[in-house]
Amino acid sequence: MRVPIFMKTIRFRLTVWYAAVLLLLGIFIILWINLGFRFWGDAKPPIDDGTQTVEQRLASARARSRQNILTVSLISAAGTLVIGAAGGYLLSGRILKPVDNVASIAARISSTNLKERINHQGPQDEMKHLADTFDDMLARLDGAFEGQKQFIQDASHELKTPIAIALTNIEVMEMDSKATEKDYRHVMEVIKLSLDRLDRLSKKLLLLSVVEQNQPHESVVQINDLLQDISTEFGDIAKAAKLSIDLKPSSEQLPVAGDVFFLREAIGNLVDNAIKYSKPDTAITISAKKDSSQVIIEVRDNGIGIPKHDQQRIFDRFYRVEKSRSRDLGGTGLGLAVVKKIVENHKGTILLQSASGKGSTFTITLPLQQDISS
Amino acid sequence: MRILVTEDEKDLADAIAKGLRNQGYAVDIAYDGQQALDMIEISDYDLIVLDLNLPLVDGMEVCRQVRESSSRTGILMLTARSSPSDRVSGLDRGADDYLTKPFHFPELLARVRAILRREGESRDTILRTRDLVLDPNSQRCYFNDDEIKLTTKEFAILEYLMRNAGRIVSQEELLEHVWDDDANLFTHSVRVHVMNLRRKLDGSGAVDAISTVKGRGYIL
Repeated sequence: MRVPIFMKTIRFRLTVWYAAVLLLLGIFIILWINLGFRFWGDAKPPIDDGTQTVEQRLASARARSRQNILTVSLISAAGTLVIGAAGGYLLSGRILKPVDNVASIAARISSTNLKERINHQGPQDEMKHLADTFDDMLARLDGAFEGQKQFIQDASHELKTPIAIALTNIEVMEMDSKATEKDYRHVMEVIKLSLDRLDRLSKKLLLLSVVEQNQPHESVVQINDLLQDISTEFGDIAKAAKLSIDLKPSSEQLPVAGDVFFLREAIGNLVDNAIKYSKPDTAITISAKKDSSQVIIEVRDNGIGIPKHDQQRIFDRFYRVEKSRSRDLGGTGLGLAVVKKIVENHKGTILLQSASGKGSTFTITLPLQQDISS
Repeated sequence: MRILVTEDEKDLADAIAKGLRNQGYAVDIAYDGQQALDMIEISDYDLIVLDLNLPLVDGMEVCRQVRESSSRTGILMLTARSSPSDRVSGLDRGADDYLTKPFHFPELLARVRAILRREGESRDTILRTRDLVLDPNSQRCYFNDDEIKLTTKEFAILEYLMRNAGRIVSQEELLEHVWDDDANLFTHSVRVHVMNLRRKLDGSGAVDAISTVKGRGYIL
């Protein structure tokens, strides 16, 4: 049987219950007073012993009747109080029972058992809504906790590996009584590389934690100027790798509200990747243009590209298409995660278009600062 | 004893391999899971040092496939993941032991020795055949309490023969278990090393400890 939504609410049920209790009380009062009056309302006059006149006897009967009516009414009031209190107690207990259930389950759930859910069974009422909302919140919390746990595991894995490399190299040499100077030099080199790796990783981890705090951006950044700076900054590295940087700024000014340090980090990171994964004698294009109220920044390379199945996860922390190649090129697996977070902090989006062997294009879209005078 | 080191961090793999070779083991290296599976198919390894986080084929999968085809090969898992559930699943997939990175190299050596010991008949850390005593830990060899100075290769040959005492070991089997892939050798080199080993044993009084079974191999 289909019941209108409003009839499923606690408010409706409470209204019906109250009305029912009030009706019962009303009936009780009416019955009680009616019966009370019938039996005690008409007090008989005292027996005629000749000492009192008829008027006196009638007056005495009326006085006793009034007294009886008062008593009946007082009893009725007391009865109403008792029945009303008992009814209210039972009623509120009935209505509040699910609240108790939900509260006790919620109290049991702590950070260690976020997998548990209230899973409230019952009509689609306010209580169900509350319990479901709570469950949704738990699911989000659980996801965040899991993500954090995974991140810490991944980060510790990344930190332990260079330590293991350095430690093993040192200990193997220590045990080798015939170790030559060449061996020592090799181990020194390995230790240096491991320390470099730890250094890069700790810097990137720190940067990631800073950008994840979502700092407010204060100043106006002129994208054309920023791209010019970045292209100059990477010019020498690109030349060394036999690559050319093709800068295509917009003819209009492109002001964006933001933090120049973080935006330089984000776009610089994309250019750095483009250089690392490009084949010699190709060009890297950095361009910017205005599209209605948005600024579109593109970093395009003709490098090795990113396979389709990796594109979904490329912005995930510690995800690498080719671990060994990334490592050899000094990658930490955090670069694109940092880029994405910075872009999101600037209310922007980042998109990747790529195919294996066909190069990659990263497109950052940022909202244009409307009030140029500021 | 022949060992395969499977580890994608080149500097780590090379150092482990070097340390194991210094102890007289014959060591090959695989830098990814697929390479490891290919090498396992070709050679009969006594032990695999297996990293879990491998490119191409995951270490757990390598472990599973090794266990499917051979129960004899020892597996020592090596990983930076150290949660109890990781260790449990590693051991349940058939690993003999589990070591978390970063580790101390002497501990890795001790675990390698422990796994190799399990394969043999005896659980004793010291190998004994008649009056010949071999201590793989200190890399020393004694006959009647007199030490015999052996090269690492000679020591490895003797260790393999002692672990398989009473069984005929062919020259090809020695080549497989005592030399690694890089050693592009033929059974001739085995003969030369066995000859040198015999001369040293004879010189210390352990006369004719290694006998030759014509056309089949050696027996201790």
